[in-house]
Amino acid sequence: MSELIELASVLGIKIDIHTTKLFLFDVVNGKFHLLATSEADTTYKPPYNDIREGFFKAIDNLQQISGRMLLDDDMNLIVPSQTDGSGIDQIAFTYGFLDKISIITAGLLEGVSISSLSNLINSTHLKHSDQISLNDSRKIDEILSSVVNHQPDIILLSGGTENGANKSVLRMMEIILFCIKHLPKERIPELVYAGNSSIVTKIQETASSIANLSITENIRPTLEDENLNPALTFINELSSQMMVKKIPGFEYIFSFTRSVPLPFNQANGIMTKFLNKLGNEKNGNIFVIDMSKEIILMAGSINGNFQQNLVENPLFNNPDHFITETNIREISKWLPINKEKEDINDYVWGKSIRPNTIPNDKDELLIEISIIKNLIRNNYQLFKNKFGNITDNWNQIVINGDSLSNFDNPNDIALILLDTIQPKGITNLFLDQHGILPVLGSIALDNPILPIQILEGSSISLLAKVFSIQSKAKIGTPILKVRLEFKDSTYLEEEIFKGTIVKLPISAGQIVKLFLEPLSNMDMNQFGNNIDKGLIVQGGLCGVIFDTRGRPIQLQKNSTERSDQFQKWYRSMDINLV
Amino acid sequence: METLNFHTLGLAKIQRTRLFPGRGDILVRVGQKVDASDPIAEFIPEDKFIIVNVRKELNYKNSEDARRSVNVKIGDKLKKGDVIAQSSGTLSRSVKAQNDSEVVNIIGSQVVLRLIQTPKAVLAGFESIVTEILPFHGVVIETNGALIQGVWGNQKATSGPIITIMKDMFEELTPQKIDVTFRGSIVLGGYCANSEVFKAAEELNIKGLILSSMSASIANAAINCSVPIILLEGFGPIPLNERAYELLTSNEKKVVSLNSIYDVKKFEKPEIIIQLPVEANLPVDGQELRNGCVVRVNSGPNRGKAAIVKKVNPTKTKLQNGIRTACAVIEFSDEDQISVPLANLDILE
Repeated sequence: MSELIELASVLGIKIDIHTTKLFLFDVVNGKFHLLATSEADTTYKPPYNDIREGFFKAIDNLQQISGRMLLDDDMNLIVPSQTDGSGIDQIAFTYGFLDKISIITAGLLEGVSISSLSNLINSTHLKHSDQISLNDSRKIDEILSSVVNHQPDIILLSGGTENGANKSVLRMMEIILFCIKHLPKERIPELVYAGNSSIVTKIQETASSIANLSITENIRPTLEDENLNPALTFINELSSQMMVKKIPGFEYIFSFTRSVPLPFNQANGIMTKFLNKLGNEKNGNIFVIDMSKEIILMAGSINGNFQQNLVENPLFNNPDHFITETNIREISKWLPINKEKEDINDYVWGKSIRPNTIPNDKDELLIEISIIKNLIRNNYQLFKNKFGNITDNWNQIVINGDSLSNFDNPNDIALILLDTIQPKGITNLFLDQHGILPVLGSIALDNPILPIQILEGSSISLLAKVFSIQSKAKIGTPILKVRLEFKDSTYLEEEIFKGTIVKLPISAGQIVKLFLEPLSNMDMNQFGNNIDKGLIVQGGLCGVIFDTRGRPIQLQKNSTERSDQFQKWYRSMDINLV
Repeated sequence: METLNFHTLGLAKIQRTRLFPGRGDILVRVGQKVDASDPIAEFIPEDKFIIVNVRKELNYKNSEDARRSVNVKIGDKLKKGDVIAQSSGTLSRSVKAQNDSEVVNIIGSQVVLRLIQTPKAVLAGFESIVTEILPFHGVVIETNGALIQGVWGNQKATSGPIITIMKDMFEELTPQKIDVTFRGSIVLGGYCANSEVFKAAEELNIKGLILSSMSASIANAAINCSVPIILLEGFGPIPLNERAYELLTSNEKKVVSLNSIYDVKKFEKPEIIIQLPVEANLPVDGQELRNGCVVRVNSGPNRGKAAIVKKVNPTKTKLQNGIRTACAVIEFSDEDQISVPLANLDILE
């Protein structure tokens, strides 16, 4: 409790190359609340070339909204909070800035140090320029060419379990030092060793005259165990120091934070794992999608096993890549209106040069939604390909994204998730409307209570509880009878047909009891045990949804029939196509 | 939300820094005049190394003997076939350079060679004067004149006299309109939807194409076309905005530089520059929308039309499609006023 008082007011700062967002939290009636948010364009690029300008704009807005002074006359943040109500007790910073720092990793064997290195780098925003291994098929001159051309900021060497291999590790270090000798003096990278600790002295003797060497704990102390946290903490600290040189203005914000700033994926990862633990379902699987303008991040926790994948959002950052990745046929296929492929193509190329344009009419909005679906679908497939054995049985899906901030109708967002992820079983869909998750993750390091209390509030809204029904019945066949019992003892019965998507009339927050009766041959175990006793469910912003369109969703091949199909689905979801 | 700025200015000081990655050489000096397609620097995009293990090649038993057989030193430039090392004795053997290369290091009996490759050129992009050399990094070039920034280009540069073949801003450029008299010129056409225009331009040695817009279906043909192409408005049938039209037509027959080599990640844009013998000031970058600002609508039924901002509304407005966004009231030259999302406006100043 004393910690709570010490850190009563908190400022969460979230900055990527496009957007600077601030979150002001404070204790009200003994509990943390989100008081205000503000946003400004990040001024990383010309003519400002310094993120402070955008930060000050956002702070200015926040001061006006909240009525609280956060900056003193010298433009410094006031820390801690003062008796006159000004200032802030804790500042936490999470950032994007993907690929600004490059790293080359070196290890011994696939499946051991190499895979641990990959897992480590996957938790950072570092550009993984190359990986050198003991079994590298390249000759030494090719490795030399790679190191000289990439000119990495960091080289990280790992290998050898504790009291395991040492000669091979020393050989790898020799190769690295040989390559470093050919770099210009001003481009000598930071060298980090995170391997077999029994040879640390030899490593230091060999390396320290050639490069700045740091030692951290072995990331793979045994064949079975991985120990990434100490190396990750070290890399975070090193990255923050390097970001100070790469991103003008970074040092200013860093100077006020209690803990080292976290990149989005780590901050998001903290919350994804935490939400997984919070889930009521046994072995709850949670999937988080963060679609900011800079990064598309997908993170999943399946039976406690956490995986994530992040890529640059091509729409806002790489027009050539966006064009290559955008499948016009797929966009056209998922468009609920008939539109000439030429018009869609013009719109897509137009978006590649002006990604921030707002759709002018309903048709353009639907194309935009189809583009977003294409992006999510592609990246979900990337995620599944990367980690293999990924089930679509997500108990919870959380989406956050600047890309979605324009959509007024939450039904649009729910349908985007159902059309792209196509979850199976029973899934709660959540919307992180402020993009608060990574901010909470960065705050959690020093203030674990705040995120818990904020999650209890409305910052992350339940969009819908979705029942995705698997049935072999023919399209149009009634497959399920649903009975909703309300608290006032009234009830509603509805038949659910195969090939439909149905939104039940349950208001946001309303609790009902749901009974399901199969009308055709169906495996009722897909709804869990004791289904005959009824399920207590809560309505989200989009109520409760039954999706019987099958997995994968089968679209009609004929464009007119497909259009009819979409008309029905969109109508059911209260989405106006006109 | 930041509004995109596409300078469309009758007169401005235009200063550009041309940088190159990796190793390179500067080819110009301060004060030198350069044309659009003149190389101002050259660089090697990727170094390639070869390590010659003399001990292994000449079958020496120890490194010291192998080292003594090496008869090159660090910094030596070798031609293909030059001897790197030679063993002594009656049955002398040698190791020769397999490629033109430079000796960058000798470690023990290993000779590290960097291959000499054909460098890639950095072009000036527009007629200008070199004002600053950034050693080992690049060059700053400068001129004064009209500046029109485009939205897309096919990554080529050229210069030549401009001729206008569009009689109004809505005209379409078709292959039939490409004439042999346009040879050596940069042609200002309108909207283009036919890739045969590019073939005709290549065959008739047209120096460059300035288009208001283009169908996305021919974008790949434009990328592969050897003639530099710049789009001023976007994709789809979009008329040229009045401001750019008047600026370009009023400079008919003048020599213009068309530079459609740009890197989006460095916030660069394709540009048309018309050099003028008048000193000017640098344009203002990073402007925010304000009342009186000259803008262009970049989306919707009025796209391509220039207008003046009458009022910026800070609070979000709900559009007919349900989206809530900040808008501005703008006025066209015929005094017609409409409300447009800020994101759908480009600043032309």
